[in-house]
Amino acid sequence: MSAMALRRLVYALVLAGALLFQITNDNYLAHFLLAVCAALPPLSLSISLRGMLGCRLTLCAVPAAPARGGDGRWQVSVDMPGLLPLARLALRTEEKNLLTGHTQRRRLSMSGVAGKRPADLSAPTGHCGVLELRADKIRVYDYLGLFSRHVPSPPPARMQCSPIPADTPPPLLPEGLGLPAPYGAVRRGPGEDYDLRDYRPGDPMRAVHWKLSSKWDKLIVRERADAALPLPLLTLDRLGSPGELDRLLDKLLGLSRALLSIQRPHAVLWLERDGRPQLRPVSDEKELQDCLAALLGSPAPRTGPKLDSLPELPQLSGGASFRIHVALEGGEDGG
Amino acid sequence: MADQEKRLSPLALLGDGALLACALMGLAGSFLSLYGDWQSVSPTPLDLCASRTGFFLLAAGIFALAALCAWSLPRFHGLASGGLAALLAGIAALRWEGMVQGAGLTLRTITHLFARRVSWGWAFQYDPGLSLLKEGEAAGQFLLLALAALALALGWAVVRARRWWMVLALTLPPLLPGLLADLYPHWPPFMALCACWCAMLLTDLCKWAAPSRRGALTLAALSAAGLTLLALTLALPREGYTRPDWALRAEERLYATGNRLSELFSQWDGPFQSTVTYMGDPQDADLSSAGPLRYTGRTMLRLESDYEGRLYLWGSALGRYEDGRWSELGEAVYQEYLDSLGEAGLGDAPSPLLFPSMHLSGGGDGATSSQPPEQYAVTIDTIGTSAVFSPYHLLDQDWAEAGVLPVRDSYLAHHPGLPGYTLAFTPPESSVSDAQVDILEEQCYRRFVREHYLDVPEGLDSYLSELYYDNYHYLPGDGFPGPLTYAWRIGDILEQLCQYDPSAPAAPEGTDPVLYFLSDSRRGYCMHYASAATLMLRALGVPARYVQGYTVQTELGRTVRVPDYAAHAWVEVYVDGYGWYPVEVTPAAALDRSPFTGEEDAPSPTLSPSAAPDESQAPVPTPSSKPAPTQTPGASLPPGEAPPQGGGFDAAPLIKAAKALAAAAGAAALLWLGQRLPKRLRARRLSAPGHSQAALYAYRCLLRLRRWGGLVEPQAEELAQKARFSQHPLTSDEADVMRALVDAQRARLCTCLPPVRRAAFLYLWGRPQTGKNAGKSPENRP
Repeated sequence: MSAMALRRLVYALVLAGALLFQITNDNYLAHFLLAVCAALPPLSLSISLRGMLGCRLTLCAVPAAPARGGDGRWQVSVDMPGLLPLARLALRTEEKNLLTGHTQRRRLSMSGVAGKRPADLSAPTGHCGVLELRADKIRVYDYLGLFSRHVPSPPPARMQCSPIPADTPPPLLPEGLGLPAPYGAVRRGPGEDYDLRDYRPGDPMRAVHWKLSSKWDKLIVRERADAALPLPLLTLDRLGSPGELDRLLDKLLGLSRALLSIQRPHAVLWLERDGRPQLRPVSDEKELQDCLAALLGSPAPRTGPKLDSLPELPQLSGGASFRIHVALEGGEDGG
Repeated sequence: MADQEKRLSPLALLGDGALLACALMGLAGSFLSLYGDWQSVSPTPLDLCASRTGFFLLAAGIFALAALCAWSLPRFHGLASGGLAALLAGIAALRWEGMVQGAGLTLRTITHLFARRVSWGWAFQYDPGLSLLKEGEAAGQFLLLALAALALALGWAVVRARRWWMVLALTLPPLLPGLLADLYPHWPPFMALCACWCAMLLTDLCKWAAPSRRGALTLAALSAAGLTLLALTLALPREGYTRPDWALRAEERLYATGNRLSELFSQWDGPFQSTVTYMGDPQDADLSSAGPLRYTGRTMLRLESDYEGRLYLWGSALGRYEDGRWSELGEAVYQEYLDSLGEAGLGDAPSPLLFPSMHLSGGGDGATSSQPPEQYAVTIDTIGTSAVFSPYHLLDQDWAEAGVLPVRDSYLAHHPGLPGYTLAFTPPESSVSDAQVDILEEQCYRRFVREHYLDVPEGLDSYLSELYYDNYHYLPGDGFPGPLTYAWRIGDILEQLCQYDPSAPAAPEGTDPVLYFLSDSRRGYCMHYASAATLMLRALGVPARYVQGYTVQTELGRTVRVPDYAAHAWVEVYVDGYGWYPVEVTPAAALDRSPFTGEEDAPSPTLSPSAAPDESQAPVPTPSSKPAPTQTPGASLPPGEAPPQGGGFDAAPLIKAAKALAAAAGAAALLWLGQRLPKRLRARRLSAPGHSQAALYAYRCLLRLRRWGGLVEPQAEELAQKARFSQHPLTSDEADVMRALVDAQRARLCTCLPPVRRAAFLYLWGRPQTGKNAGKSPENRP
């Protein structure tokens, strides 16, 4: 039995007792006691009605995008008029991980709620995914706990629980595929433009810009900016348990960050639950975050279609790409 | 720091201070006005304290302030309050004897007052051997110390615990005896106390709100409660208050239903009951415990009759007086009369209760009747009683149809399944024949009466006869009185000697109540007058018995309500050739000495006490020329005493219901304990200081939850193995993880189990903790 039901039951018993006392007793105190018992609910309503009528709920996530396993909290704020606190606020919350589909419902009750003091709820940040908090069945009670009023549900709050990037070195990419410039490639102007970068193992010696290398005291490599570099295409099958997904996404994020660190734009390809391919270009951090939001915000089944089942991979505009498949076993494969 | 933030709010201090002041000052004022303003012949120590009410109120205010300061300290409030408590204990130890005396005197005053008001048999006896002034000082010092101690406890209940029921439990008990004894406290302090209770009740849910908000709420609730109570006081004035009609009607229905149920249950022998049984016993009248009269005004009977006038409804006639208690002669004694009838060959004799009506109708062999008397009927619904009440001059009728049955010569029993009964009777004013009943049955019964209705306790007969002859002044021309004349003279003597007092206290233990009434107190009401008159008549050789019932004024075409304060007791005198004749001896009701006629219209008794059948001493019922006696409380018996004797509300069903309620409450308590204790134990073990132990217990909980469909995650197993086998104890965070896993499983099961299993699960495991503190040990909670 909930606390409010108990209070109602107790009040009903007290009122019945006062009524019985009045019926069987000539004493004036019996009469007055019954009157007081009957006057208590209106008295309680008169004090609490303003807060009950004007109360509104707001949900928000703090922080909006914690890392997996980090400290994420939901904040339930109550906006209400006046100085008096609310006696009690009861609501049902539903937290859903949009990626894994895991749903958790909780019943919350808050006593003595006053404005500017949000109530904190711990968010289940154990797995990657976009967490969504919804609140419904919100009822606000009077000071005696006898009457309640429904409060409209606030807009849901979202929290993106991001993967923790795995420590992955940049992959070895083949050179000279002569592909057109990929998304985000920067053209520096007409003619032969060169980009300069640090030497990485595997760079041909003829690409070393000796003059600058001697000047800067480190190996500088010259490469044509307008030359179409091979576009890495990171593919993954979003299948498995939440733990497996976490590790997969960690790996993907590590790889993507590594590619971005060598200023190599790339794209991420995966299949939605309905088998529809999703291709997202990633050329900077913002696009990476957009890609993650799309990746974490759609449901991933435990089993389903894989990319290998597709007759052919979606083509990027302009030509072929260099596929890097992100998987748990055996790491990434070139193709 | 948290405490500092919590307590240093002026609004909170103001609100708590107002609550404390209302509680303490209201309690002090109410207490002193309840027990000190009592009008008594001799002043009590509390009367002296009440004369200094202002001082006590001031002290209460100071104590409230001190308690507020002590308990509101952001730090060391326990130390400060403990210091104050130690100071009080020191004072009590220094003045221990005075404190004990004050406590004893206060308790004595309260219990004596309560015992007198509600006829309670016990009162605390204590006599420290002090003068009244010293007693007042001792009681005052004790009250001051008690008030200070109460202030400390109230301070904790208001400021720290913030529980309304604690405040109620601390402040209501001192007032309860007075309130239960129908005493009224002085209204303003009592309203202040009530306002404090209401405000605490209204703020109970917000005890964890921010201090400033809580303070604002306290002040708002206190002022709103005060205004509401003031409005109620103005709207419902105490002066002229009478219980509303709806309450009276509801009470009638309530008692009627209770009576029917009790009768049905008491007679229920199972599904194969075939014989019709009659129930109802004349209950004893205990005069020794008859204290001040108290009424609730509840309806005992409801009757309709085609007769209009005053009716004496007798319930039972009691002939045996022993140890201050009237009781029926009993079956064994009555058997003697039946045996004598059998010896005379009168096996099918009418009940002696019918002799008067036989007399009126000219029954008997030697009687003649000029015309048959008029017949009337009265229909009586029993509401607040299970006994039968009947008018006099009951006619011989079809008892099965009437639903009642005469039992011996004392009372009527009635069929339990019937809510009421209808009786045919001859009105008192019917014309009667001059001849008396001359039947053998009456002669046999007359002998039986002379044998058994003349008993007087040892040593009392001489005193009573002397009292009569000392106070009756013989006048020349007075003939030899008949039994009725004796009765009327005794009524006059009692009226001269004694004072009618409905609040007369009970006789002291070990004293005969009649002797105490006649010799010591000389104050009493109908029970005392009727008992004394009955015994005095017997001492003079006149057969008499004690009768209890109700007096009522019937109205044609209207249903008359008979309240409990219409209960009454009177005397029946045996008139030879007629039967039992009622005589009124209570001054407050004795507008007529004879319930049937005025004294001047009553039949002339014969000159000889040995009433012969041919004597014209039979009462001649004539129309009552005087109005019915005012139904003052003085003409009644205490509801707890007289009505049960003549048919008051039977307490047995209430006792049964109370037992059933107690059993249900016990079962509920067991159920509650069955849920609470394992829950407490589980919470304690889950938050054990040893994190490994707590984690292992959490793992065991997870294993138990698996029976309900719970899951044991690998993480839990890993942690459990670590807790069990690792040399390093688990950290607090790891224990929290285990607890969170248990909570998560419980929450999951709460949502996914089917309703019945979920209910069982919730009973056994309770609702899991939610919110940010879920899974956290107490020390990790903010």
